[in-house]
Amino acid sequence: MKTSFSRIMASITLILLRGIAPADEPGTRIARDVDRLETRSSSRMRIEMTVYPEGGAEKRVFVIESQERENGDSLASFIEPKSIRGLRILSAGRDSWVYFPSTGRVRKIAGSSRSGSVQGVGGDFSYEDLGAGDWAATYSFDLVSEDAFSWVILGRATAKDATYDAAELTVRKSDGRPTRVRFSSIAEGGFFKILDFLEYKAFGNRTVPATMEMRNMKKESRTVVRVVEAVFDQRLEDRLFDPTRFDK
Amino acid sequence: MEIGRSISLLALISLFVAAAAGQQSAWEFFGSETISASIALRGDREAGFASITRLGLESLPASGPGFRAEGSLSWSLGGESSLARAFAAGLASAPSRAELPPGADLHRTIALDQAWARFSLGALDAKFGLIPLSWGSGYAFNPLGLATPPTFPGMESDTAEGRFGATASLSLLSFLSLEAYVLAESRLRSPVPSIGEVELRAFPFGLRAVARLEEIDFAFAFGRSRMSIDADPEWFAGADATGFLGPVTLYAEAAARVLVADGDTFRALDPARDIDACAGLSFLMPILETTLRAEGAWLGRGSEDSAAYDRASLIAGTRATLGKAYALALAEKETDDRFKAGAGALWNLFDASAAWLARATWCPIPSLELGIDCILYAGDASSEFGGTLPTGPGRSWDPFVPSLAISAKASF
Repeated sequence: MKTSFSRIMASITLILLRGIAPADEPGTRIARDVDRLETRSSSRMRIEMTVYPEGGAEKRVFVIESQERENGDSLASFIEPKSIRGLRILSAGRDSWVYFPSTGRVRKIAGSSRSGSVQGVGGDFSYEDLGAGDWAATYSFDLVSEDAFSWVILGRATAKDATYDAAELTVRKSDGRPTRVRFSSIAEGGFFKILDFLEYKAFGNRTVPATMEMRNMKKESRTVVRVVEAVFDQRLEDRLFDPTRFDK
Repeated sequence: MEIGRSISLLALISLFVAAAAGQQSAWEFFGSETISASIALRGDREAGFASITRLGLESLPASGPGFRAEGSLSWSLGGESSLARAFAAGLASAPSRAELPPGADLHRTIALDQAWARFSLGALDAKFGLIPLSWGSGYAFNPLGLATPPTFPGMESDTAEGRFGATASLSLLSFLSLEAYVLAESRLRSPVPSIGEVELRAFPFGLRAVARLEEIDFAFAFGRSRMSIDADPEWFAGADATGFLGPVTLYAEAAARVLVADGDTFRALDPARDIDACAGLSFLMPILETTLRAEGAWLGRGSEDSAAYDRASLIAGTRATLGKAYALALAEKETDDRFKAGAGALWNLFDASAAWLARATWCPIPSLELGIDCILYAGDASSEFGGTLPTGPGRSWDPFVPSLAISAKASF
């Protein structure tokens, strides 16, 4: 009896303590849920990126083979256009390296360059966009507004050298998937990029954003990324993600 | 002889293509065609034309053995032909048609730049064949590029010229590896085979430890280099590093000639004479999205005195520059993948001569690049970029001809 009483008291104490302990802010909780849905597993994808430059210039199509590990490390290899065929970009943690196949050179990319377009060919996507980490780990979120269908959460960058100062996510209540992200940078004068998730699609047993459009409001350009093929839970060789071996 | 080489190369490529067609693995055929026309920006306004056709074939699966080959067929006419300029300057007399072997055409150069096989065995990655070697972190200068011919700063070819040999890399940790190469040929190729050209006491090799860490990449290197089969081998030790200071990328690279023979003994290292080094920075200006680059270089073998310049070494290919200290400044602007423009200057700090470079490219459609290049030289008649090499009464050879060129490159 005494034992049962003690257990009950302990349980009550635990429940009370849980109540006292700081819980995630609603914004952070929503961001964590988004991250959970986007939980990474190792993947191999073929991505088609179509760049619609400002001024109505002719669109450009890039084809990239991407391999990604559970921890977010990724290796992107360009297939099209032929002028940059074979170029590889390894992103491991917050570091990136570029490998140029014809010269055999490997160059380390500065964190600040991660905000730049990928070798000038990433359209409106930066290195950071292509290898983005977890939302909740990159930004500190607050719930800004909500309606019957969605939440809007605003995240402020937690790292000093973050590419964007803030990111505002619109998250669909029905399935917890983001439908829009607005990116802000003080250097760019505020919100200047909008990422719309146009289509979610199942590849095997995984549902992922299959079509995304990034618009740069300042440049009036846009880039559409479409996942053509994707396989998940693949065993990927360590050497592909080793900065001293990915070029070999 | 030339016809024979052409046929051999075509046969080799045909074999690869046939092999590619017969296999299910991802063999890829790629290449590019570049043409350029130029005009000299000086009195006689000589014009030139050049064409480079590059063809390559590769199969580099994510795992398992791989292969890559890349070759080129180049044509140069008029002012774009270094031979034509040498004949015009009186450096050599132009041979008559009868003196050339059947099928030979001195406008034409055929080269197999790379042809290597790759395999991995556990933590070991290896390549052998005609391999590219790209050590060092410099942007314009490359003191650790001791396996290949010297190149003029910033004029590195799109495709690295390989050397016959083997290279291996052993991964020790996820950020640390040991790399080594051993070569059967010197930095400058001899077109004539000789029994003594592969000597055990002189073959080039290199060893380096490479670390690629969160904030910095660095490497320590050691090895032996040989400029040509007529030259003594040289031992070198070096290091290079790339890191960041806020938004600024910083890099440095140095190679020191160590164990320099002095008769029967070795002399002490003379830093001013035996060290080649460069250091630089690059910075992407956020609003203008323009990359600024600055690089300084100290080349121990260079001369502080313009009267001592060995301009003949530029012809021999043993040197690409003559001076001892240089500064480079460049600004590069890129607008998505269509427009790129850059301008800058390379200064010889001792004789105050300079090379001014400007380049702009435009890609109207993917894989088609149109370009315009301008290079100007400034300096007095004794300086590096303003001087010439007298070749006879009233004749001289000018290694640095100011020019304006337009080009088109299509990749496939």
